[in-house]
Amino acid sequence: MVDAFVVPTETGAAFFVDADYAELDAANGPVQLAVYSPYDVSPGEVAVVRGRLEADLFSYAASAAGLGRAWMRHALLAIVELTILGVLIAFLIANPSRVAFIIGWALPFGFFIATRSALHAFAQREYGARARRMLESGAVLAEPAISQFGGSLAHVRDIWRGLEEGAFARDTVALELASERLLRWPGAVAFYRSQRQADEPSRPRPLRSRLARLLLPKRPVAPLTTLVARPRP
Amino acid sequence: MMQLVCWAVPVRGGYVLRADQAAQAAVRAADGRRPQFVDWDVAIVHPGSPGFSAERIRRPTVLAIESSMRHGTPARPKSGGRLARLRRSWASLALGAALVVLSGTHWVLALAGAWLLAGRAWTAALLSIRPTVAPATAWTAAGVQVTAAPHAGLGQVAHALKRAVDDGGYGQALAVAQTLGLDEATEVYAALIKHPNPMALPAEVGMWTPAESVDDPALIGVSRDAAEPPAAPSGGDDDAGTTEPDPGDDGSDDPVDRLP
Repeated sequence: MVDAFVVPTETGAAFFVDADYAELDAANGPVQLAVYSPYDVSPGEVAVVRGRLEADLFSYAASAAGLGRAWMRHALLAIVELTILGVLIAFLIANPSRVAFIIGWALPFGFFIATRSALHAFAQREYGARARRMLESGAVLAEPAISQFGGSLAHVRDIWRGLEEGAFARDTVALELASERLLRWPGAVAFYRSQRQADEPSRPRPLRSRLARLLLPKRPVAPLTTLVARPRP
Repeated sequence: MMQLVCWAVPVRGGYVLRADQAAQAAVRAADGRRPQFVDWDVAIVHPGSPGFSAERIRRPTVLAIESSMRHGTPARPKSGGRLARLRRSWASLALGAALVVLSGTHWVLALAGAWLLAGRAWTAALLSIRPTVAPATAWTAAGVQVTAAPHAGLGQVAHALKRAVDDGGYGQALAVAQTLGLDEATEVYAALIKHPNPMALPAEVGMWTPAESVDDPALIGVSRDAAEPPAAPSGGDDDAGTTEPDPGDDGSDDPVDRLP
């Protein structure tokens, strides 16, 4: 089940889809869209949401299908590289010199690339397998479910009610803060943050974030897309 | 069954057919799928016009989608060229070059340098662990199913276009489309403001189709019969969009109350 919510924005309202594509598995059956809206949603709007969801989902699957596929071959390459590194370190220890010292410090920059790739491939093999299953046999049901589950319904009701009662302003930052602090709704927080950041100039990542990105295995992330906007109620 | 969306944007005297922004991505993503899962269902979203027949514009719809494939962003994502690879591995290449230069007569240093410069890339190619690009599946118009789906937002745009009298009405329609966040309609009206003749629109904007070739008289009759109330209290002349409920317009109630 993939949830699509109609939430307020500065100029009106918008659909957003809250789904972690990396966790969807075609082995559990076809994907169904669940729409939560304070309005009746017209068939055309549902068609647009479904069409864009499918495009997003299968684009993600196509891009993630190669993850972890050849992790054993990556590991083989890493073993060869680590062997050469071991021989080189032994040689440098046996022949100590200033040059050997300088080279020794630089070795990690060159000789852990294959190891890093192998670790990434190993960590991502489940995501890759799910993406391949989704690509090969996944499907999205034609008929969406409308407002069926209590938790998601409560989120939509609370955000619209809060707006009606003046608990927070119709402003992207205020809506993001309300989603985070009052409603505790991570999906809406991510949506409003993406809306806000789309208007801001991009800033360089901090060094710690860049290092973490370099060393830790990446988790495939699908972009959160605004699907359809609607008028101010 | 995968779904594509084609927008039937209302203009004076007809519609401009335009593929949804996600259509290209959907077709590209289908390249890696099994053929039995690549049946296409094209939903034509329209303003809720009575008599709108999807079957009658099946061929123009397919053409509009094919046109968007040709004129849209190119192609298939590339896995990265030689320059990108160089940028990723410049540190190890520099270290490899340094090891080769410093090796002198020591074969161990030369071996390590050669590995960093060429050996790893060669072994990776030998083990074929470079990402492969799936073969492209031909988009085939044969067997495509088309369905019509009324869109509340487009209905409001059509209403604004109908009420407007000046400048072809495209300015008002553009404003409504922008408010509703309908990017496809916005681009069509922006192009029409520059060149008001929809027949002369560039192919990447959309394809014009006259209303006569879209509307099925039989469907119009049926829908008028169905929409006609048994006893109308007053002769309202603003009944153009009443066949399809317009969620945005019946705003007298608190929307929260309508949640089940």
